[in-house]
Amino acid sequence: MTTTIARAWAASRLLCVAALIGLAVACGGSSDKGASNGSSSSGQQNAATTATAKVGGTLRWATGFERASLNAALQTPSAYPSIVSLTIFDGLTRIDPEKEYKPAPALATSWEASADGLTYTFKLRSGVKWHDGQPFNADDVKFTYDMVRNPASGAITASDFTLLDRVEVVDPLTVRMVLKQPFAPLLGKVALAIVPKHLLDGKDVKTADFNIRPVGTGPFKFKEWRKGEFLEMEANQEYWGGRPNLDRFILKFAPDASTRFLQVQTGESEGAIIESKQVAQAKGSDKLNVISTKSASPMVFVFNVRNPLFTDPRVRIAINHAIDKEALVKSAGSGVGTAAYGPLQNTPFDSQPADAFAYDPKKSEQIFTDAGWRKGSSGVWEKDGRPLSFTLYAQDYGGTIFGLNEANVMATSMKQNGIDVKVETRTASQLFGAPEKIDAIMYNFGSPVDADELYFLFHSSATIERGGYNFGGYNNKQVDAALDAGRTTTDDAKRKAAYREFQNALNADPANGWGYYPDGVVVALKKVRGPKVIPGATSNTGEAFLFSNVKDWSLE
Amino acid sequence: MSALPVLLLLSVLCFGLLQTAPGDPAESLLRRGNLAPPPRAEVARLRVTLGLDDPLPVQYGRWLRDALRGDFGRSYSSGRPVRAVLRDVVPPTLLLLGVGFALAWSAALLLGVLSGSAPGSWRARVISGATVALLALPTFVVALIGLYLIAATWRLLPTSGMTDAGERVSVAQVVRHLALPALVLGVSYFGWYARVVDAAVGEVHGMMYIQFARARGLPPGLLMRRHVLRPALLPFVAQVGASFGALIGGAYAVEVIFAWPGAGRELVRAAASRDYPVVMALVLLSGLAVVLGNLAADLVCAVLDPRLRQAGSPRG
Repeated sequence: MTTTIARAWAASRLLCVAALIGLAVACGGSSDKGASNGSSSSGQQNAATTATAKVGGTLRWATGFERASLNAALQTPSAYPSIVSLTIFDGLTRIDPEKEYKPAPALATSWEASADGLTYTFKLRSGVKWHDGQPFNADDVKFTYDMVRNPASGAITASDFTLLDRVEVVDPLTVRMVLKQPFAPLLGKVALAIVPKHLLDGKDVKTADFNIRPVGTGPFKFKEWRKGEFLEMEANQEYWGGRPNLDRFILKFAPDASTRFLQVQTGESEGAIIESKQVAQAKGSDKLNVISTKSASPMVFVFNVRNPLFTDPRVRIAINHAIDKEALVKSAGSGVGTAAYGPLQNTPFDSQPADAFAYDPKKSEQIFTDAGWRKGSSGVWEKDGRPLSFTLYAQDYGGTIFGLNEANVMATSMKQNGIDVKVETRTASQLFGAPEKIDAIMYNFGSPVDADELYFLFHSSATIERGGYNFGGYNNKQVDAALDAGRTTTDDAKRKAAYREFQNALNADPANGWGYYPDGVVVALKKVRGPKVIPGATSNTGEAFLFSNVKDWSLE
Repeated sequence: MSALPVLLLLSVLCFGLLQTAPGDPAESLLRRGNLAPPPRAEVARLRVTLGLDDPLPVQYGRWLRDALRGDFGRSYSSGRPVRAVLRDVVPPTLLLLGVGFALAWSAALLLGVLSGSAPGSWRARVISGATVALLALPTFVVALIGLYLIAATWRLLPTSGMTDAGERVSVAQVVRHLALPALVLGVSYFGWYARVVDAAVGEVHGMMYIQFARARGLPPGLLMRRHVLRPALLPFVAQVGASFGALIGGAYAVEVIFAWPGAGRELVRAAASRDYPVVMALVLLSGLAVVLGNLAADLVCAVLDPRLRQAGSPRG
């Protein structure tokens, strides 16, 4: 008995001492970071957060998409970043969502373009180390771009650099890029993740260990990837921009949207992207911050303009006026979104009036009549004995059917206005394998980064064979000229003018049936400081741009 | 043994079906983002690299030759060896379904016997009623109810995953995460087996020789254990054996809802992305499980019923 009591007494004394030590460490250890930012662009705006930001803590974020490979240089174009490409890696530049998505210095501290716009010289930051301690230098940059442009590596990002002729190492901290023709979006494109030459040189990039154990220069280091469950990253204490506030950042994978939302509600995760139908419930909770951002990715359908029914642009304009976009936002979007009227809404390049294609059955009727159409006995528009009837396809890409809801809602208002639309689903290969045979496909595109991303969609040369997405066969000389001008001029005012031209030409000859821009909605526990409402921060690639400033996030 | 031809036939069927399904693994692999179609030249090149343009018997023969050596190839989606993928996803599913089934079978035995041995009584009616109600509920409904009540509202157990993110794996952790999904599976599947046990026990219980034994004063416990259970268990054992296939293909809905990193999820993902090597391997493993399960069931039945041991199995 006595020994037991004695032991208990000793144990409790030990516990008290341990607790006191623990308290001392906790109080003394957390120091204020003050303004630690090395990267000039994120310096001023986070004054409120960094000045009082608490250092430490683990952020767990629930996400639905788990990639097969973490080699962001091959997998992730800079206009469609992934969370990993922004945390583990850096590019020459960094896209700043708070500055209209303009490029800011990152691994490159400054750059100069030649007078003819064909040569760019980048001065690299000195003293940057890879996560494994090796020094970063110009060889890594040249290696990365050569690897991406090598067809054997199967890089998805290669199509961003078709106009790049070569990359040259001038000295260990200077790199030169030579273009085949002037290319205004280059500075945004080189936000591409840079990967280490010393780990990938000579290896087969398709099966390299690097793909599951990446090493970058970014604010977070890769720690562990338990497949199917989570990806753990820890703070890079030697980050050139100053260590991040968080100690650990964990991505938890959960394919079901309700599960993700539930995880945040129970506190198992600190944040997640949610679906529009969960927004009402999220707003009702007092533990959650709901961050709703206007996206840059509209839901539309793409006309196959080769179909004789769609040859006359007036038909496509009239069809657009027959689509009830507000109903679409209310039903498919659960009220969280805006009607679409153009490809560059919510970006600084937007130049169209908001009612450009407003739902207006009378106007639609007027345009059809003026174009020589008459309503047949069944109420469907007819011309030369042919009714206006086509099939709208939603993509079945395995597991989910993209755009089916939206297609059905759009078809309803179209049918009410004399357009006979059938909605069907097909797999992506059936649709894109023979796009000439398909009438119309539900689609989603767009990135907030640079209007040039639309080149791949609307330029007549951007066919599927050439690596583009213009599968509808859209071919408009004015649009081509405007897109070419926008791509090759580096003068800001001239670019804005070119894209205004582009939008005017496009709206006179629409390539799409406009739907709506869904808002991206993210929920986070109130203790998470840092996520901001920025247009385009969530897009069809998920919530990645939201994490541009994750280095400065902190937990209360 | 008849197992080998069955497995061979299964592999041929699976291979054939995969080929007839629309969709191209090369296109699926190269598709950028979710929606960007890849250039046809690149797709064609990848098809040659993966050997997808060779005649079908050649492709199947190649697969079979490698599979017999234990090499199931590499996943088209991730490039990882299929063996590594299997090592990742099969154990979690075996664990989940193993425990789930164990719960279902024990509950089915217990409650089935209780209700079958007293037909018409109120306890039999209550148990039957509950069984039918649970049978009618789809698994995902049970899962969502369990999730919202136990994990979300009462916060008794975690909502998802197999382990705690960012922590070193421990047995206690896995048990906590396993509890709810396994319970959901148990509740969901219990009805199938309970009905069989209930009916079988009821039938045997009503037979003349049992009535006679009761009349002779045999205690009910002894009666049950020695005379009723052995014949009554035969259909139950057969059904259990047939269920073994589910140990791999598993419970897709539960694995998605609880974010359990198992083979059910992986099989659906692989099929959707036309990741043939992974699909073939998982389907084959499933088939193997079915064959083994039936074999085990046959053996157990032979032990239970001596009549089956004579002159070969009546099933042929």
